[in-house]
Amino acid sequence: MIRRGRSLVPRGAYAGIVAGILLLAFPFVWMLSVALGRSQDTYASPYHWFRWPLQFHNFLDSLSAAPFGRYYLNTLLVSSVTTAVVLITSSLAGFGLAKYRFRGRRVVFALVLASLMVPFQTLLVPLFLVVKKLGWLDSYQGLIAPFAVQGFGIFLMRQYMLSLPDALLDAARLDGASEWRVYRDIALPLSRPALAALAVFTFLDSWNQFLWPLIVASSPAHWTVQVGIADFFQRYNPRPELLMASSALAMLPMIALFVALRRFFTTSVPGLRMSR
Amino acid sequence: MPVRASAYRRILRHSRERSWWGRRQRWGVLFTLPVVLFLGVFFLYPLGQNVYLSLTRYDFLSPPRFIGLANYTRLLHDPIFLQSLATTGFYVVASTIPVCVFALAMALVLQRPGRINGFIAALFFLPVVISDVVVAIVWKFMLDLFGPVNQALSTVGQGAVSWLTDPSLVPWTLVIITVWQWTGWTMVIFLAGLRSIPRNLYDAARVDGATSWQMFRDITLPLLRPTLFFVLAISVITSAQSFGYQYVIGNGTGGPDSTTNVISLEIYRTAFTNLEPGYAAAMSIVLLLLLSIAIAIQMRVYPSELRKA
Repeated sequence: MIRRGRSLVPRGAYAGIVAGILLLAFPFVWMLSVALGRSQDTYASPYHWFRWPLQFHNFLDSLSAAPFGRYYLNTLLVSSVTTAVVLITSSLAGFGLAKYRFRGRRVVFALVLASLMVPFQTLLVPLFLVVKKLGWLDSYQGLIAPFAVQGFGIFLMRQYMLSLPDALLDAARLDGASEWRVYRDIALPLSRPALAALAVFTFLDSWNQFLWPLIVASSPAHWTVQVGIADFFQRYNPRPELLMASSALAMLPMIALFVALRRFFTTSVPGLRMSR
Repeated sequence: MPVRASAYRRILRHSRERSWWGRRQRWGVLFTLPVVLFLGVFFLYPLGQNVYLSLTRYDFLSPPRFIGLANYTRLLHDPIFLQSLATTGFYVVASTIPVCVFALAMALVLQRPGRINGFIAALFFLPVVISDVVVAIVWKFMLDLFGPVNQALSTVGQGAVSWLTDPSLVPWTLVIITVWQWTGWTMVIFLAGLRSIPRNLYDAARVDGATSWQMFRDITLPLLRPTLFFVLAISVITSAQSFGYQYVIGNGTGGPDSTTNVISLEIYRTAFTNLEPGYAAAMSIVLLLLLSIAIAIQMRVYPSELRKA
């Protein structure tokens, strides 16, 4: 059979892609240009892109204008712990749901699915009250707690673990392994790809959380980067170069993560965002 | 010598022996117990309490006072609440459509697997990793009256546009921001869906003389339905809960003339600024009901797709 070689796509379509890339890149480039410029040049007409001399000090100034170091540390702590806990709880529950048949299993699974369907706003006020009653308001536990178990994580791990061969697990059991060891030494290591993807999604989602930290972290000592920059924005509105500098810095960790671990973001189904 | 059936039965009976089999399965309970406990405390209990709170008048200080369905009847006549529902509804529809159209179009162009296409897809995906607060902050500065967007418009003769202060434009500003950030993510999902369509279907169609359009309409679209369903469901659920964009663009007030007062922001303000958590709880229950209806409708339209997804 002779291949016609006619592509499914008209050649002009690639121009659309290029246009899309330019539109996509524009805000990034402008942000950097403003971050490296002076206040008065931001809205100058005509605009000078990357006007010399570049004001690198804006980045340092933005970091010291508000306790961003503390914000970054807080966010790092909260996101890391949340990710670790989610990995543990999701793999435990996912394993239990995937490889065991017990009474009430369907109920548990339904509960997990339900937790995915209910919008966060419906839990907002009572969660706040629960956290308050636990004495966890304005604390790291309060920031982490509601997100320690995520239905999406359980769902993901269960799906993956369903594909683990039962024969392998039974072989371990025949060798005398306890169920706990089957989980820890067989199922868990085999689930590394799913765990890695889940870790990336959870970390990203936790880092970008805004609504919950806004409510729970009342003192600046516990603010995360998102809350900190929103506050910074409301106070430093007339100083675009500082805001663009801190925005660029706020983006940097996640962009670096994406560049380093790109395949986890784009090959499996991209994670559901808990909030927008 | 053939193995005797009775030997088989003996082995089977031993391994399936009730006590050993049953005891092992009960480990499933142990493994899922932490999650169940947690969901009980941080999901079911708050959900139940929210339903209860929606039937009370509460101000965080004195104990909640039961008032029956008064909150709900008040909601039905509350212009601000109804407006926020409309704002949210508009946002959900107006942002989902362009995102899906652009994402699908670009996914079609980039569907052939290859290093360049993969790299471009990753590039488009990049805005997704940025938090919505930061995205909104950058765009807010970009759309300033004297910002680059308006300057560009001036050079082509259009003149500056009040993206951030004109109530008739602010909803579209939110749409623009959403499209910028989320087209890439949606495109990646469509790419995965497109790549799962077997190539030989297209080859067979080409042999039969089908045009590109016919192949798209009769092969691509039908086989993309599960993906489309998934994208639509996720889009509706997440955009209905949109908060960060609106908070930044409107400075947390609900924006010029309530144009950024989406339901999420309205609930937040009612509970924590106006200190009426009971009323806010009622609002959130309404949101839950509306979303459930939306999901139920989608499951009706695509019941088979749900099973595939």
